[in-house]
Amino acid sequence: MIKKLHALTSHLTVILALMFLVFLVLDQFNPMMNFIDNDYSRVLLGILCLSGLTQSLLKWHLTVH
Amino acid sequence: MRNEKKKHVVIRNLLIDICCAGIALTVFALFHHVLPREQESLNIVIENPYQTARSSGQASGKASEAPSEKTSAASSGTVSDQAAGDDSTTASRPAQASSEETLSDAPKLRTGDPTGSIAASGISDTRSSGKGSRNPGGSRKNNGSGRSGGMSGKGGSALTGSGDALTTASSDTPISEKFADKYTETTVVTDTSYSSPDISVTVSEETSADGRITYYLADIYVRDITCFQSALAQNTYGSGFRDSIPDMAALNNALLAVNGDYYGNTNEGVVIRNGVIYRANPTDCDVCVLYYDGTMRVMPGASFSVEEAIADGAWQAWTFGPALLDTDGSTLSSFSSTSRIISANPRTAIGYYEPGHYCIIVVDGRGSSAGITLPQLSQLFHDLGCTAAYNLDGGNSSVMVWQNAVINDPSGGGRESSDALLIAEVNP
Repeated sequence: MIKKLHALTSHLTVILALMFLVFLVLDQFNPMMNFIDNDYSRVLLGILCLSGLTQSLLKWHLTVH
Repeated sequence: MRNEKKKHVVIRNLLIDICCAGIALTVFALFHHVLPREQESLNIVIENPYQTARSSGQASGKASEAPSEKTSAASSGTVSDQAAGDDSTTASRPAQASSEETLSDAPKLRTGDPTGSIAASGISDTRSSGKGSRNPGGSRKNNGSGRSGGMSGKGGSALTGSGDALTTASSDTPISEKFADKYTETTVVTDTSYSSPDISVTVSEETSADGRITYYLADIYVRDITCFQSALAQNTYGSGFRDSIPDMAALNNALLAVNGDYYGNTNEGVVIRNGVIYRANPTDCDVCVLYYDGTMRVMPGASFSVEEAIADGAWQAWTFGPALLDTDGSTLSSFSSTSRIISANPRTAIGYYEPGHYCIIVVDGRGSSAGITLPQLSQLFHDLGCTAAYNLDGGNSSVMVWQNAVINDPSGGGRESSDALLIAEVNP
């Protein structure tokens, strides 16, 4: 279960990280499109942070056990 | 062998993640930019302090509820008919002031609340409570930011081409007696010019000294600032609503139309169109405000105040920028934008000489014309003699429509926009 959760958060972190890399590039080209600083992006950023945090905690747990 | 297998698993997982990221990005873009979505609007009407009785006939056109008291109370002043909300479901406008209402220097404020229950006693600066702030639903008396529950941000009759909620040309405005030699008693139309009792526009195609840049200059005189209008795509305030500039021009019987600031791309900034405040959110961008008295001011976004805009009688406000001239009218050579934004591109920009005299420039680019950089554009407006100038949306958005025809060469064939700037007769 924990391993599956760890795998899921890994995927989620990669997906969201890729998305934000694209946002950063697009914002550089056209800041007015506002890909970074909007409500949807803030939610995604929160999910990315939680996902990364969860992944790290699960990794520690797996390492310890 | 085992390592090979592991490597394949890693690569497979990465490819799956990349595909999922692509799908997620597509869905994100659909929700963020593509799908039409009405936005909550402040819907605060800033009334024209220079409104005259002549507006009554015009205003009763398609307006849902035309005030009946508008008469020859010009001397005492009447409230403006510029209410947002042509939506018949929003019921009547708040009760119009009686004809005894006197004209004051400060524009009268009337919210869009159809029930009139919101006291227009004052407006809190929405910026103070953070981005995207709304009326917290507290005491309406203390916070008259007037978001009407019944109005979902419809552009309203204030934005229709018939000008039915717009004032007619006033004979008692700060700019009504200026530039009298520019106007004609009857309408005179040529291929490159238009003059009437209220409007004088001359359009010319210009080329830079080195022949690399082609731009179109519209020299504009208006006797009544309400001839300088805005249109919202599909007559609706919100994200994802787009329309072509020619279509918006045709719908509004505009003599001249250019793209605006594409407000629908973002939730930031200030959106005031035809005397209605739709949005006043914090922004890092410069804001350009056109007032009822014909003056135009460009200011940092942080300097914009809703209360001041109301008190000073804001008619239009755009958020894009940057400002192209310094406060003393001198050129700007450095801009806090990305190099891609500063570099040569097609552009649309507005210039201001003095109340009643403006110009709009649309620069072609990414084709036979090289486009123009922000420093070059700044120099251009300075050379024209403008005292203020403001950059609007550019790139593929830059389109100029003159007498129902696109006269520039829009990059990529042009692009639909969420709004347009129009010059149109208020008294057709």
